[in-house]
Amino acid sequence: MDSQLNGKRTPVSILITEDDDGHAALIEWQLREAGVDNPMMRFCNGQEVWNFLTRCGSGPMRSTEDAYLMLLDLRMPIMDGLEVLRNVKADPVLKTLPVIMLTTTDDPQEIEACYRLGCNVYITKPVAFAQFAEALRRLGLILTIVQAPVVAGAGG
Amino acid sequence: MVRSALAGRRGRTLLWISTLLVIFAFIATALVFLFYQLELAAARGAAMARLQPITALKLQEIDRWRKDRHRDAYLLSVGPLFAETYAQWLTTRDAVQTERIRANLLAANIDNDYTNIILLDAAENERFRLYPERAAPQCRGTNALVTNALATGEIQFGDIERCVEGSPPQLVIAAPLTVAHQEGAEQVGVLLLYVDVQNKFYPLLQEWPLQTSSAETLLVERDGGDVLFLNDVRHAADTALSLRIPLSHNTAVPAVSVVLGNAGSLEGLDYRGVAVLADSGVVDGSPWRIVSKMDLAEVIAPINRRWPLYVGLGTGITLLAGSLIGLLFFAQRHTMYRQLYTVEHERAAALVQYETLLKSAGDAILLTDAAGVILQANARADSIYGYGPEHWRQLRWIDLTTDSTAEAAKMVEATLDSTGSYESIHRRCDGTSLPVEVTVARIELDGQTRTQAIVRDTTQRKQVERVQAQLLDELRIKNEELESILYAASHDLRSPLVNIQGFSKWLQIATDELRLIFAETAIPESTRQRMAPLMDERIPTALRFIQSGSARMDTLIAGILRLSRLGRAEVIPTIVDMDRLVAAMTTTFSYQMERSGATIVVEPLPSCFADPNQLAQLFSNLLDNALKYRDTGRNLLVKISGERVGAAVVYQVADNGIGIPDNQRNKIWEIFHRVAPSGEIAGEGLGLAICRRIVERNHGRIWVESEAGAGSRFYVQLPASVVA
Repeated sequence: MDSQLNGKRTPVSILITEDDDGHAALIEWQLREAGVDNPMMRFCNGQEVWNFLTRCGSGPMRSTEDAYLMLLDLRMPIMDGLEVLRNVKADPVLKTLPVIMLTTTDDPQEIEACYRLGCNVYITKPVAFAQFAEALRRLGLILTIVQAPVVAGAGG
Repeated sequence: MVRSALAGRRGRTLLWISTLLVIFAFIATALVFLFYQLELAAARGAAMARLQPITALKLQEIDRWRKDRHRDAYLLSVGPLFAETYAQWLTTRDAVQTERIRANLLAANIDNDYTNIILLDAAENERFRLYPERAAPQCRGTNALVTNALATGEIQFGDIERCVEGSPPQLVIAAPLTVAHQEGAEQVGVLLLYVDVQNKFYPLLQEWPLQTSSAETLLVERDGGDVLFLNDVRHAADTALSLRIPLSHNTAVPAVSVVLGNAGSLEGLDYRGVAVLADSGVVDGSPWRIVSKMDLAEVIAPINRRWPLYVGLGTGITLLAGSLIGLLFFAQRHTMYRQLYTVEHERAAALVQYETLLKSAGDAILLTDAAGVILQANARADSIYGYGPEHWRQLRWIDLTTDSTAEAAKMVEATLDSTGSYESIHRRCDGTSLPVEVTVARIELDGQTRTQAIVRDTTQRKQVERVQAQLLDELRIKNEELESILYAASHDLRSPLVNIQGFSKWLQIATDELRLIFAETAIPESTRQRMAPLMDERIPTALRFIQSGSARMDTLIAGILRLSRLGRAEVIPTIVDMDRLVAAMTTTFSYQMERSGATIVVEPLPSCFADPNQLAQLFSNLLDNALKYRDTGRNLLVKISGERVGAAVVYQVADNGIGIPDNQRNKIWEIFHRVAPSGEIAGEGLGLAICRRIVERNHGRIWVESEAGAGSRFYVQLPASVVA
């Protein structure tokens, strides 16, 4: 999975934004199991990933050279997934960033809210392992196909 | 007031009655008078009917009498023997002839019709007198008669005359005595018959065929400008040939009238000036006229004698009318008094009611005049406003209000339709404010405008309303909190489960991997023996329980989540065509139905007013339950029916499944409750909880009737649609 920019292929980095360490581990394991070998970064809440994307704060910062794809949990402390999504989609630079919502609820109201805000895919985290694995396997498949654009500008 | 009105009414009634009585008396008098007049007319008619034949009879008698007299004269005059004898006697004076003449004349006067008979010669000298001792005066007319008789040779009938004052009236007939010769007839003399008018003629007239006290027959003729009465009248002495009435006197006098040529019946005045009924006629061949008359007084006397009858009749009619009026009056007065009594009674009752109402009313009732001065206040007003009964007289409506301008505006608006109500803040005597609801009515009392205000102290109601609103608010908040807690909890509860399940799976993968390594690797037997039960039994069993437990937990949480979601979902009610909804639903179940050998019967269903999506869920759950809890010993039969009950619709879903034991009937609605022991029949234990939630949110009711082993009937009651 690479992004073509300036004739050079750069791997798409997967931003896993998930407050639950277990979930994050499960997602990563499962993606790896599904054959996704892209670089992955983990953020513990919305604020962290927002800082990364907007190149603020003291943590790691987004590279303008790289392409990204974001897996976003809905319920998180400090800044929840919905707010991150809203901010991302309201930002003229960041709005091209593909966002995959990954959450425990299948509440139709929330699903609709996410799609309305511009999320690309919505995936329910199933408890049953087989289902979860299948969901992530499909996600992995998607990730191998998706050509994530490079997010260039400063953002935020 | 009522008494004086009553007295006034009584006075008016009396006036009315007396007026009516007078009118009736008049009418009665008029009627009696009319009757009397009719009687009079009838009596007149009857009298006239008697007078007319009498007149005719008298005329006939006079005529016959005159003819008799004429015949007497004629027989002597024309008979040749007598004339010849007389002619000879004139020359001879023979005694025998004298006697023959006498005998002839005596024979002619056999009835003493004549007072005397005289014979004249042709020179008009008297030659023979039948009764020489009797005077036979020759009156004015006699000589003319004699001359005419000699000249014409005709019998001349004289008139009644009185030649000498005091002598009786007489009438002379002159008949020429003619002897025929060869050379012609010769008048040898004249026979004069002196008719005894007094004794032989007048009695003819006086004879009256009826018993009467005033009737008589008059014989009259015209004498120059007068009417001359020829006979003695009944009601005056010595009138014959002396009583005269000038023709110009009065045509109402029958004698005048007849002489002037108007024979016939007449009512008029007689010679005395007395009212009479008369009938008159003309005696043929003479100037004589007769009048038969009768005093009106005599005619009407019998009727007048009946005066007590008339008076009695009049009085009777008046009394009858009077008593009828009286009867009516008393009947009316009775009714009136009864009405008055009723009215008075009701008034008194109403007054008592009104006073009781005023006293016991839970609201203040105030009466003000147009200027807002308080005229009346009830006891409740005292307690609400805190004024004493003696204060009210000095108070005005604005003294009770806090914002008099706003209050006045409200009152004007409320009384636009004569009555209305508004809410306001009033002021108590002690200055504290008083929330009130005022109902005002504009009323007219004795031509003056009054305002009646019913003031309700709404302090308590306001408090209750405030508390209620607060409670409702709290309840809403609590409900929202509960929903969000439920939602968040179920949401957050799933997170660890994802881990438990996810990592247990990884653990299983890892264990499988270990088992492979364990099999491939050379390990001391003692170690292998120790590890084998762990690898083959303990770890897989633990993982199995972890996984099944977490799966169960996931189901429960999903259930809670669904239920909470239902609580938050908006209800959009509409008219639901249940026939279509149920038909569509049974189609989705058809595969399951067919496979389990079930039959479903759907009767025509009334429509209802609810959220169609939720209703589909509801019936789907019920049908699902029917399938789940069917009796495997027989084919399932589900029947869906419905009927309208008042403003609601009740649907029934009946099955012949395993039924519900009595002790579980109330628990089936609880969340996660399951009738069958866990594992026997798959289910979340959520279906009926959801059903109840849906029905409640759609303002309905759900209940069940069941017999364990026989089947269940679920009833769903929902608001009926306005149409259908």
